[in-house]
Amino acid sequence: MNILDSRLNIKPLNIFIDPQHPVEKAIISHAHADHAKSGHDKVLATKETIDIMKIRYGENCAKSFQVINYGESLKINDVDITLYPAGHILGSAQILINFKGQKTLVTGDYKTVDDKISTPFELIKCNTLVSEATFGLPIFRHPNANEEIKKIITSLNKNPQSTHLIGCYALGKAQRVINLLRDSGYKETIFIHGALEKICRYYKNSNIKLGNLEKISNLKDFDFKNNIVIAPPSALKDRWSRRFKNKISSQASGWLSIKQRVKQNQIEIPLVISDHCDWNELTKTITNTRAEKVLLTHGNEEALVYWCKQKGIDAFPLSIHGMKEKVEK
Amino acid sequence: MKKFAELLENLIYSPSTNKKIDLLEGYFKSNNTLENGYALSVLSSNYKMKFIRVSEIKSLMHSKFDKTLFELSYDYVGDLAETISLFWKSNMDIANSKKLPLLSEFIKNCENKPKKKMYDYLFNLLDLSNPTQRWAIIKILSGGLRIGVSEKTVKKALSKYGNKELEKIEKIWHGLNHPYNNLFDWLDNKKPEPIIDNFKTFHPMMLSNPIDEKKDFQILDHKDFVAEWKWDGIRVQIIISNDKVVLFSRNGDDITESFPDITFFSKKNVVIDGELLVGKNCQPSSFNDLQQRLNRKKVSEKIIDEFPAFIKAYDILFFREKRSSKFEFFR
Ligand SMILES: [Zn+2]
Repeated sequence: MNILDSRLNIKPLNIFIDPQHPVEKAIISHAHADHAKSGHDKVLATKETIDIMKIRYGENCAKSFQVINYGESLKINDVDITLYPAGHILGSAQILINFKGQKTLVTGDYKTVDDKISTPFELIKCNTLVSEATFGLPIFRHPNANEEIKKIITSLNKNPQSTHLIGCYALGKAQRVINLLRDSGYKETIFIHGALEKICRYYKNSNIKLGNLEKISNLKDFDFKNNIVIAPPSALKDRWSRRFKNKISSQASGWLSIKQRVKQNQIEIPLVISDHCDWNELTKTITNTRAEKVLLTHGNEEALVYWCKQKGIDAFPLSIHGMKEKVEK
Repeated sequence: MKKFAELLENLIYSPSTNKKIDLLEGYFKSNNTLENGYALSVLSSNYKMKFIRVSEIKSLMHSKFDKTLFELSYDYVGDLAETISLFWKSNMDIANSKKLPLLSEFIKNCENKPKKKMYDYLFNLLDLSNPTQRWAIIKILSGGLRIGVSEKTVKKALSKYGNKELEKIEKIWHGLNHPYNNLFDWLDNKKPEPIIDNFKTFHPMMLSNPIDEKKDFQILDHKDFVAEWKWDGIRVQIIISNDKVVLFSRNGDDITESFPDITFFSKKNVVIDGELLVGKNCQPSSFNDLQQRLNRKKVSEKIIDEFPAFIKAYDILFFREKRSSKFEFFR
C-alpha cells in the first residue's frame, strides 16, 4: 500500500482518514461514530460532516475545522486531495488522493442508489480503490426502499389499534425512513425518541422533507395507538419501549433480509433499507472505477477479494488498525 | 404458494402465540378446503414430505453457481434454504409470482414427478419467485420447516376457525390424515364430525396433574381416588387389533419398531394404557436399562435378551368397540 498505510495515513502529509484515535490532522469521511471521533487537532471535512460532528460531540470536539466542498481540491506539497459525494448520509464523502498522477480513492461508507437526501454518489476513476465491504456477499441485494416502506403503511391500515415502533440509527437512517414515509404519502405527525431530535432538526434545516415531528418526552399520558414512533434500535429493547401498548416492532437495516436476524431481534416488520452498497453496487463500482488494485475494509471482504481475483483485479483485505467490527449505521 | 409463503414468513416473525393463531385462522378463512388441507399437512408435520434431500439441493447449487461464493454465503447465513433463497439470481424478466402454482398443486406435482424432472420443475419455480417464496419452497421440499408453530397452536387455530371445541379436535386429531378433507368439511359445517377408527389411532393420554397440598387436599375426597404404583419406565399406549400390535409413546409417536418383543395375542380389539419397563422375568430394572432400548430402529437379539421389555397395565381404554370409560370403574 503505497501512499496510505494500514491506519489510512497519507504518509507524505501525515494526515489520517477517519482515524480511531486523536491525531494532529484528520480527514473525516462522514459523521457516523465509527468514522468520526472527537479530540483531533484539525478536522478536514465537508460542511455537513463538521456541523453534525459539532452537534453530536460539541463545538470543541476538534481544535480547528476546515471545510472542503465536494469537487474542491486541496493541494498540500505535491499531493492533491479532493472530496466527492458518497451518497451514504448528509455530507458523506469519498476521498481522492492524487500523488504524482497515481490516484488512490477511499470510498468511506457509500451507496450508489440515490436516496434523494444526500448528494448522489459520484463515480471516480482511480488506480487504487479502498472500498468498504459491509454487504460484500452475493446474498445481499437491497430491494427498492419505496416498496419496503409500504409494509409499514399496509400494517398501519390493518392494525389501527397498534403503535408502530421503527428502530433506526439516529443519524441518517432515521431521517431516510421518515423521508420515505412522507414520500409514500404519510402525513400524520411522526413521534421521535429524544436522541433523534437534534439531527432531525439539522436535516430539516438542510431542506430535507421530514414533515411534522414531535418528541416523545414532551408528551405525558399520550396514547400512541395508530401512530408511528421512531427510535434508535437499542431503545426498542429496553424499558423505554414499555410505555407503548399494543406495539408492533419494526427496524430498518440492510441485515434484515436474513430471516434469522429478524427473528433474533424480535422484529415483526423488517424493512430492508440500507445506506450501504449491496453486492451488485459494490461489484459494479469496483469494475467502473477501473482500479488495478482494490483494498477491502469493514465487513465481508473475503467474497469480494475472491470475486476481484476472478476478474483479474489485484485485491486484498485491509483491516484498519483499531477499527472494531462493522455494524451498519 | 404465494399466500402460503407469506403466511410462513408472518408466522416466524410474530412474537406471540395469539398472533400466530390469528394468522392461521385468517389463512384458513381465505382459502378453500383443498388448500387448507395441504397447508395443514405442511404445518402439522404429520405428513412427512421429503422430496429432495438437503445434500442434493446443495450440489445442485454448486453446479449452477460459483461454489466459493455460495459456500461463503452459506457460512454466513447458516441456513441452506435461506442462503439459496437469497443467493438465487432470478431473472427479473420472468420473475412473476402470479404464475406460481397453488400450494396443493405444487405438492401434488412434487408427489408425481420423477426425480429427474423434479430439478427442472424446482429451477423454474425458483426463477418465478421472490426470496420469501423461494425460502418457503425449499423448506417444504426438504421437509424441515421449523417455524416455531407448535401442534397445539395449529389445533387452537383450527378450533377458532371452525368454531369447534378444542377437545373435539384433540380427540380425532391422531386419526386424521393428509390432506385433511374430512376435517375441513366438518369445520366448514359441510359434513358431520369425522369418524375415527379407535383401533388405528392414538388416543391423547390423561396425564398427571400436580396437587397443591394446601388448596387441593381440602376439596379432594380420598374416597374418589384410587392409588396405583408409579413405575419408573415410560408411559405407553398399546393398540391391539386383528393380531397387530402398535405401541405409542405418550406424545403419540409410534415406537413399535423398537420393541418387537412386545407381543399380544387377542382376537378382540383392545387399547391399553400402561408403563413400558425392562427386566428379566417381568421384574422391573432401572430406567437406565430401559434407555438401552429406546430410540433404536433395529434391535439386536442380544439386547432383547439382556433387557427384555414388558408392560405394567394401568387401564383398558377400549375393549371391543366400547370406550371403557363408560363402564363402571371396578368392573
Ligand atoms: Zn456510515
